[in-house]
Amino acid sequence: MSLFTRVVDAVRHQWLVVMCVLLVGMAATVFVLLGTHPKYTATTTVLMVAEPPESGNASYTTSSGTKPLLSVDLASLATATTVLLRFRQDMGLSDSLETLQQRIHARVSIDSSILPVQYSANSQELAIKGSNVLSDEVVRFYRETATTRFDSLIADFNSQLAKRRAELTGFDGKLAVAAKTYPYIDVAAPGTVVNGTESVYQRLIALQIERDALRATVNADAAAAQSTSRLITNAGPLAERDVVNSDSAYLSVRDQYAKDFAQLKKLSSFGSNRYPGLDELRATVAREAAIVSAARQHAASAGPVSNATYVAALDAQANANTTLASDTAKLRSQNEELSRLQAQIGQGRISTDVGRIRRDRDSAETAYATIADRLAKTIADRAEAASTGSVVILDRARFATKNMFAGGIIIATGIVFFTLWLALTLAVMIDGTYEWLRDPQTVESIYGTKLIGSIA
Amino acid sequence: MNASSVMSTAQMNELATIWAIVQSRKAFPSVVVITGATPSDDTESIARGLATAAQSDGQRAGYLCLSASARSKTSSGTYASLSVIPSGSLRESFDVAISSWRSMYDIVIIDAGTSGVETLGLHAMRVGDGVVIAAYEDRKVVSADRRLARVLREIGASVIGVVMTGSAVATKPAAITEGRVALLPAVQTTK
Repeated sequence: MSLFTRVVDAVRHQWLVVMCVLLVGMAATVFVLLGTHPKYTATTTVLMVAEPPESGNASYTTSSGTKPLLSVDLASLATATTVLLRFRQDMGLSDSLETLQQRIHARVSIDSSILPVQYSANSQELAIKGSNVLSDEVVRFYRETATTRFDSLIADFNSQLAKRRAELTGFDGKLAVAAKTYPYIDVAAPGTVVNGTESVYQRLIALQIERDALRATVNADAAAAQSTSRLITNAGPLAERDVVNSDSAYLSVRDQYAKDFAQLKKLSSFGSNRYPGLDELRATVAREAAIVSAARQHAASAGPVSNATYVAALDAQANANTTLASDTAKLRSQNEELSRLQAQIGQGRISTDVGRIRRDRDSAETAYATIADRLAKTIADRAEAASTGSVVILDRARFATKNMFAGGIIIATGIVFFTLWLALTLAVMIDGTYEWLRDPQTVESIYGTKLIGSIA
Repeated sequence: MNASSVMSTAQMNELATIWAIVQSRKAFPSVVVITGATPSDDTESIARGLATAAQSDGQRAGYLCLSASARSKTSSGTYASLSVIPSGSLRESFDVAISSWRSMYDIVIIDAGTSGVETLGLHAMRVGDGVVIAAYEDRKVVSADRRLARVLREIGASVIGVVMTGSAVATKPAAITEGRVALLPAVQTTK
């Protein structure tokens, strides 16, 4: 069975359903034609003047980053709720906003600053009046929104700036508290002097430099002391020898002993002990050797202190030791001061907190500056929008054209086709829910016997 | 029924074919009952058409109408001698009449109408030699169809087949030429 045959059969079987649907559709069509079909349309031309020349596309933005209202946006104002409410009030109408919206047509072509505002009504007078009133309201609303948008932005920026100021005040307060609580902590940026006092970092660096210099001095003192000590050690025997050699008694005895000893050696070299006086000479030499030794000991008993050079060396050593001890004490004091300062600075948490507060304050200050800059630009843009971006009515509606194929006809045609489609679809669907005596298979399944003929 | 109303040639040929089928299934003399599930199935046209076909075939055909629609038409005098045949207590007299008709005609065509409500029609189907079911083509299948099929099985009727009818048949009923197809006399009511 073809689709056409099936539809025809369904319509024949479900004619009542089809008729009901068609009747409802006809009623709806009549209602649409009588109720919503406007007969006349009037057009008022609105021009957006002084729009930036380069704003033919939507990519244009003001210096504040806010896009201006372009002519392409102007069309949407015609059907804005505020405009429609004012329009309804001006016209003294009681229609719903949706109905009014259907009677309004406003669309601007790209690259054009002219907006045709059309209004359709059942009479020519109403169409003309409606078009003009609607255009007036569009212009009025545009002028309001042109600056209102910037006003809102400015208010928002001011609000943000107030918030940033409060943040900066808070950061300053925290830094002040930190400066009072930890006076040795540098709350100012490095390299700056706060209240005439140098920062702890600068003091620390200076102390370290002094400590290094002092440490070098101590090392030099130690080396000098060691040198004088070595000098004294080496000069002791020499000083003692000088003391002995300067003793006249010793020198006299030594010289006599040297002579007698030389005589003895001479006589002994002949190899004979028969020389008279030899034994006596030997005894004399021996005796003189003892005397010399005693004289030497006596001369050496005075010690090296009697030597002027040695005494001078002793004085130098004493001075070096004194200097070393003094400088060592200074170095110890320096180290203690450094340790104390490093202990203060070593409280990392405090230092870190102060640094974090300082960084946050810097960020807040930067943000504040950015917002302030945008606020200034927005204020300038507002002035520009208020002065140049205005909308004027170029040509008021003076006549209205009769609509031959307005929206009502189109809607009614759509309803007719939809109703027809709905009726046929419903007929086919309902018809499909029943079983029909159409073919031998159905007949045989119902009666259990063959179909022997048909005289239909 | 106007006797001048005639079937089309195609319908007559189809009826002749159906008659041939009926004739091939049953021996003569025989009683063939035409019934249907709904009044729209037009058993009358099938019954008269088969009687006409039998008559055309040279048979002695007898025609008895039990259907309510046909009975109402009898009052107009179109079909003489037909009267309302009550059911129930007249079953014996009906059986006697059938027996006599068997001896008088080669074939007796009984229009039983909607047998679901016609008790006498059910009896006729039980005692008849074959049943032809008339069904209006392209109508909705109703519960009466299944009930008729069930009743036929229950009474043990010999169903020959189904003949589908249509609007054309209803508007142009078959013509019965008096003298060749005997219109059976009415079965008298005896109370």
